[in-house]
Amino acid sequence: MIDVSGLTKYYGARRALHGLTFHVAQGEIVGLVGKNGAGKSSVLNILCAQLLPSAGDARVNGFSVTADTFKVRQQIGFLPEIAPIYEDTTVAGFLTYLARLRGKPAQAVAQRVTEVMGRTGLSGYGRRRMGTLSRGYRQRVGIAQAIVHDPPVVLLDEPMAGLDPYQIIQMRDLIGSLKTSHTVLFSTHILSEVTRVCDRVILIDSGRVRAEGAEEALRASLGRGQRLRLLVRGAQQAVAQAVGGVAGVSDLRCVAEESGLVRVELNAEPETREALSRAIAQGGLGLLELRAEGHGLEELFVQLSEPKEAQAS
Amino acid sequence: MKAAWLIAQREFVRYFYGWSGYVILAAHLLLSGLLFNGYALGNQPKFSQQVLEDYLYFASGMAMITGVLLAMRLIAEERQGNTLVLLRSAPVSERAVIWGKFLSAVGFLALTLLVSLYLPAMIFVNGKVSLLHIFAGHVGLLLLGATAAAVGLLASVWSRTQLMAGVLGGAMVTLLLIAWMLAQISEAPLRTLLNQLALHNLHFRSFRGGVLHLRDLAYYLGAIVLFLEAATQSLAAWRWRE
Repeated sequence: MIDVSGLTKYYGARRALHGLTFHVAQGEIVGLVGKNGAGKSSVLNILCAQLLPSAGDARVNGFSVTADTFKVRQQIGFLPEIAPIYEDTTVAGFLTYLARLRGKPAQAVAQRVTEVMGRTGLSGYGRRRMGTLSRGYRQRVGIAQAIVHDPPVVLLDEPMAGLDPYQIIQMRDLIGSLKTSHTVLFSTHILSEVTRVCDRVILIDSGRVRAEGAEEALRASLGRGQRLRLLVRGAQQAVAQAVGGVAGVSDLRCVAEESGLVRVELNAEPETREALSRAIAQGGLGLLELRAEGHGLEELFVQLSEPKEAQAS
Repeated sequence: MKAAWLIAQREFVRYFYGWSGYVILAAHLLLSGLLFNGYALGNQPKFSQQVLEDYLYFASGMAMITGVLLAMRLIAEERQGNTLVLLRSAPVSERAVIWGKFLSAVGFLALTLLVSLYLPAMIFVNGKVSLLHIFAGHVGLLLLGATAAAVGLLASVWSRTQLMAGVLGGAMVTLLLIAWMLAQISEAPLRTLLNQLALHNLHFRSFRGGVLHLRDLAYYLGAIVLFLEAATQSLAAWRWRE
């Protein structure tokens, strides 16, 4: 549905995108994750044919952003970082205007606007002037305008930025609900929300794709497994021997505490937990606590954003 | 064409959402009334045809100012409010956006001319002027104001704020306005060129006298198309620059 190939974009001498390549399949919800200035907005602006790439191309539903601008714009609905609204216009009037401008037949517009307002939780707000809406509702209007003409592809730039936790939950549900009828690519740096909504994550940094896949796949790409913390009753040396003998354990640290307890930290795959508890029991030791902390997406984000040389060191 | 018409309708209605449309309309009426009494009628006895020509003379200045005021917000406001993305990501050509915006300004300009039509109507009722003179004069006013609006629209594309667009548009119109003065101090063929380029002096004269001259119609229509095309190309060029 979206094919990005070798996309490069220069702003003057500054290179914002550097040979970016990725693919989004039909019906997927994909998160574009990256630091500020990583190139997320540039990608979205090129995909909605607002910007031309300096090199490379992107295809949206088979249409090239460089050669078929009009067709591309018919395929997409776009919510930029700041929801574009006419403050002096009513919600219904705004959506009606945009639906007609984007080619929705006049006789179908009223029904579609009602439907979209219902879907985005804006029922009852049709006659409200948009200047009087809260930020959360403005974002809803932003999503509504992006889907009012029923495009196959929806592009959302930081849809959760600036929302309170309650609004973020609502926005997450709203984006999740788009999956039934749209392919969604959205950029964000609220990482905790990415895994809850997205099928996949594309992590970009300095205009390049650093990693892509589901969170588990990204974690596997680091080859570091999960971080496990244990609290074991016994002598430090016996604990280290028992735990260290389990296959797949790495980066083992044992710290003796008072009352004959040893605090253990190690890296291992989640399946190793059973073998660990068995080894501790067989060693005549007492397992009091076993906690898997894993690598949070934030940690993955930081590690994957680092240059390869830094990771190696 | 359909998209341009939709944009034009919406932009025309938007003049009445806020205060700008009402203020421009009210100011236009007030100034027209004052200038009509103070300048066109004056203190000395005049032939009604001279009164009408004097009315068309000051109304032409007001049409130019109104044209720039109406156009300065058209793109710059969208840019300031981050709403231009709605048009630029829609399946609508830059030309349709520019022409739609332009038509809304011309529609409002026509409205201001319509509501101040009572002034020449008074001359017609109380004096002896032809309806064709009034008609030709108003065609000239509309074309002159529309040309100023086209210049203002180009300035609006080039500017980040409405104020900047207003200043730039005003400066560009002034430059076109005083081209005939520059012609006075120039030698041929530059003199002829500047005279022909001047926005008001040579080309509005025939409308003021009640004559529809094809040369002047072509000048104003050509200037409108030229400035709107420049605005279209400038807007399209943003895809490369931004």
